[in-house]
Amino acid sequence: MSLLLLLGALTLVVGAAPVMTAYQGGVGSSYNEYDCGGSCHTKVSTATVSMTASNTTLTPGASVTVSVTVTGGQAGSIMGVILVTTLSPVPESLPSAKGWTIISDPSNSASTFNYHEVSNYAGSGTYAWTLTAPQTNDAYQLYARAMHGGGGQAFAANCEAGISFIVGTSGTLTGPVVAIISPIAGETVDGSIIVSASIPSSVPLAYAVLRIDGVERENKTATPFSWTLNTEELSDGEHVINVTAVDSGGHVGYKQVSFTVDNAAANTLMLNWVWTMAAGSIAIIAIVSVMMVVALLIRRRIAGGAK
Amino acid sequence: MIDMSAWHALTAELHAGFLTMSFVCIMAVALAQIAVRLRRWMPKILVSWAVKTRGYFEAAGLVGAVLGILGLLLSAWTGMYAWPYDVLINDPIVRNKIMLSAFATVMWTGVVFIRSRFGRGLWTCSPMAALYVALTFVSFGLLGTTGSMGAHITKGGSAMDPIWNFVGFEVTSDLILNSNIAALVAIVSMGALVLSLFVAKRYDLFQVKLEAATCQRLFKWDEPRIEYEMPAKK
Repeated sequence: MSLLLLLGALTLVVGAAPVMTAYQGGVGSSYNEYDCGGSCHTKVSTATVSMTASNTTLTPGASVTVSVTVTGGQAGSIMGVILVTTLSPVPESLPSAKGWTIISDPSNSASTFNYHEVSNYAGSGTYAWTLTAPQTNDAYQLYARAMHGGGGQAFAANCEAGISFIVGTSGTLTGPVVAIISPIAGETVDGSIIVSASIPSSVPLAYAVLRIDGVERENKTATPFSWTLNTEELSDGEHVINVTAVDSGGHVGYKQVSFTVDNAAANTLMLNWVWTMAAGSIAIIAIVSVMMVVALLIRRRIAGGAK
Repeated sequence: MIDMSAWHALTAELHAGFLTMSFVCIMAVALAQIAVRLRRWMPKILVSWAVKTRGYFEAAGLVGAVLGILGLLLSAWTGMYAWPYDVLINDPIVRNKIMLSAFATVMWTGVVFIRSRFGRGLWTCSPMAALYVALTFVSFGLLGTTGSMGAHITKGGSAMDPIWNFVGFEVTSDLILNSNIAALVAIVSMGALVLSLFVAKRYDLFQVKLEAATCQRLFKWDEPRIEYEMPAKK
């Protein structure tokens, strides 16, 4: 009997373990780094994570609300959402490490945790934190990560784009100064374009990241800081290019410009071009044929009907 | 590995060279024909030179045109790799150059067709000879225009710019029709083509053989044969 009870208890523990341990097997906490801690979520989740902020240009110490929306993933299970300053598995990814102070977390209680967990995830949800900005003028970045279990596996999805914040005025930033050379702000583009940035810096640059509409495209660690962008991957309309540079001292600088994609006009142009080429070629053949016939008819008249 | 733009430059030189040779030869034949036709009023040495050379020029004109068309096709092929699609779509001069090159290829093919269909005998029929020379002239002009556009692409300007400025032609502006108008042009052209074929059939023009005996009432042209004997005075 005791053996049966033991087996039953083991089965319960083994079967429930992946579901119960969404992140460090825990509840909301304020000490969760990006790194995996007690329960590594190594499987890529089908969930999508996006972020919005009430304001991205802040004065030092100003409050801002950051909302993290998770859609998809394993409904009915535990879902954990974490707010961090980097998506690298390194220490000091806590918002407090960069000078942020969490005033309130999504639990609507007095807690100020960077990690929030819901026990019965409905398939989508939005989780809001209110923070005060760092006191040092600089550019800052916040990211979010969602973690959940399911089918005996531990899944995670990141908001790779994160959100960029400027604290203070750009003139007093300590990070590298980024200038986007092409495309120029407001330019209408089509096809493949080169996104080119100039990032002069007295301190060696660690990397520069290209983001389109907040979605990270490519990370470069060396010059030239230029990227080829196929605009046909984007919808026609206005988009935002963001180039964020981080120097070896961890200082962040960024620049973003809006541009407009209009591939429909380019496709129409190409269609008209092909039509014109085809019509022109047919017209030339027709003109030459008609003139040959005319020449032969004149010759027939000159020659008095001789063949 | 040689860059494809180098191959394109090479094939462009090739077709430009052959077609220029063809143009020069055909124009030389036209002048020689006139000199021979008007031999009573021409210096004897000029007439003698025309008689001796026109046959060779005539053949060289055809050979140059055929090789030039092959060069044009090669240029189109190498150009496709030298100019990526994105550059093509974004540069109106490149689009114009490709389009006019296509037109030039069709026109030079017309030159070769006329010469191949009617042989040297076409020179005995003044209307056909005039068409042959005029088509060669326009085809060469079109080739020169594409060359000028190529110079704009690679050098930012061309020696023909004063001419373009004079006639008010802007090489950087798109020479593109609206697709509806282009379709109308194509339909009308096809109609004209069918009509010309119908007329040719109606008047039995497909069987025509051009030679001195069949087309001599107005202008007494003779064939530019390869020969050394001075034709007898008529």
